[in-house]
Amino acid sequence: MILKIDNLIAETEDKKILDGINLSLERGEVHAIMGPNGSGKSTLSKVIAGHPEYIAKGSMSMEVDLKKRDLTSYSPDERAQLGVFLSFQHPVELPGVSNFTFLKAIFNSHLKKKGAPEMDALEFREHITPLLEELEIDDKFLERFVNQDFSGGEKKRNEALQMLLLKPKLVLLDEIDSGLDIDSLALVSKVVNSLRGETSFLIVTHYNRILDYVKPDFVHILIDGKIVKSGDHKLAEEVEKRGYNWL
Amino acid sequence: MALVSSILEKFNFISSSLNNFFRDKLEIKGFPKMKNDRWKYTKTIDIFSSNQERESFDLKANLPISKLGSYDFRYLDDSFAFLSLSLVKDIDFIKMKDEKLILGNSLLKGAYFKALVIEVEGRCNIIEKFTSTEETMFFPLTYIILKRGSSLSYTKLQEHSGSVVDNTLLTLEEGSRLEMVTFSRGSRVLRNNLKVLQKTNSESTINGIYSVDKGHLDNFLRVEHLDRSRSKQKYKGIVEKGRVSFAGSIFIDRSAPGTESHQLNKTILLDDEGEMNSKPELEILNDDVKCSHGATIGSINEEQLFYLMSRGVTRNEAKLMLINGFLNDLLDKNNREEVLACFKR
Repeated sequence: MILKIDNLIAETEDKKILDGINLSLERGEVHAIMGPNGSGKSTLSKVIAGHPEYIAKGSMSMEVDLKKRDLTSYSPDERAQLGVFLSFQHPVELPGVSNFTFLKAIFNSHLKKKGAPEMDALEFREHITPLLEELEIDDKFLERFVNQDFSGGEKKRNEALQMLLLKPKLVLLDEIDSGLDIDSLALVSKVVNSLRGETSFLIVTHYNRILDYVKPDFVHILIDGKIVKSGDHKLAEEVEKRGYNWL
Repeated sequence: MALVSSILEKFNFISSSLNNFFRDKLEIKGFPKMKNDRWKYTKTIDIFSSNQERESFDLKANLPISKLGSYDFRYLDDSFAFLSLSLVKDIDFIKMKDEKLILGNSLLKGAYFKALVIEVEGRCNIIEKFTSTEETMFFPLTYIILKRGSSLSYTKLQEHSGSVVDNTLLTLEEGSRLEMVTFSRGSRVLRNNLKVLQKTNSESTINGIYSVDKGHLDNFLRVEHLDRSRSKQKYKGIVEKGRVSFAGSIFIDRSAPGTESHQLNKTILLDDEGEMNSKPELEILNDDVKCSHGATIGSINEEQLFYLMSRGVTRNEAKLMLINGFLNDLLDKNNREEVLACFKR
């Protein structure tokens, strides 16, 4: 079991957002979390990644190298080193930081943690080039500041690029399909499907769009901070037809 | 007046007609008083309070060339510039043409005065780097004349621990271009008086970077547009602890229509113990100008930090990356390496 969440409660200063979540993901599985706006879907992915805005209670454990780790005791960067990757709904702009510098730094942070020699600029450029091609990203993209003046599709491709680069064990896709053009959606889905098997996915989504490309093993419906129903991919189709009111 | 005399008494005073001329000016003007708004954040008494013993004052003016020439000192109006000029043996004079000059020293114990005049022709590059210990007082005066059509890249690196009042005066003659960046760290007392005078069609980019984790830094900047000309001033810095201020004053004369001047000061406060004061001052005597100013004081953006950390970068590394990004637009090929080297220390 890669991720096990028991009775997870998440609060901000004045509001309870997640109210007792239980969830288990096996290695290589794809789970979709669906739910109406404000149900707590995005919060769930941020809490797993360790966003400082939320106070989390309950247990979240991740299995890494056959050892169970209590995620709540790790900082966001340590969680990333364990293999957690959050693809942001709204990827953050980093003015003045070039995408190349950024990608090289995040990749090297993982090499450093493993005790492997870090890559210099030349080595890294060689390493990243095939990944850019896979996502049909132009070379010039590396010289731009991270996510600044990127279109919606470019931002999400950049998230997928980082995913390919870091090869995480657990990927949290927070509304990856919002603000995404059809070509980018197809490319991002291709990346997800290529990593599937080795990597586990938790896909948080409002619509069915991405699920047309990436077929989930399980679907969970989240309403008011609670999982009210779980099922297989047919549940997503049912939600598509009937909305959330019947639940 | 009494303060001037009591301070001058402490120095090994060398009398020459030049010195006396400026000593008179200093006595008339006096040192800045508490109520002087332009010296609100730096007190004269703090500058002189470290070395009380007369014998610890030692004049170390190391001046190879003596030439006052026909240089016009009427633009000087600062008491500490007068102090330097009333104490130096000679004024250094350097004439540059299409060359690079590296200036600087490590200053140990004592009081140091420097008066330097540089005339720039063609394309020149000056890198100035002074460091000082806590037992140091340093009063440099640098007067740079950019001759007609010349261009100068001027990098000033300040890593002081002592009491320093740095007077820099630049006059930009017709069609000349200045690109300047000052890098400063906090010192016991560090006051920068930077004054830039611009003639027809001259252009200046005046940048400042500060990284302060202790002590005091007071940046005072004044740009005077005497004829139609352009200037951009951008000061950015990181303040962790210590007391920092920025005062940017733009003067556009009646005789300078069509002038463009833009000023920006941005600070990231890393800690509640840091203090930042920012104050613009505009004095515009004609209507046909483009002028803007702005100041922001903020902290490191937590969402940006989380984004980097969620990729595996530690909090400290993430902060450094964001700081480098914040300063990025002030660095260029002439100064990037040297400034970042200072920053890492």
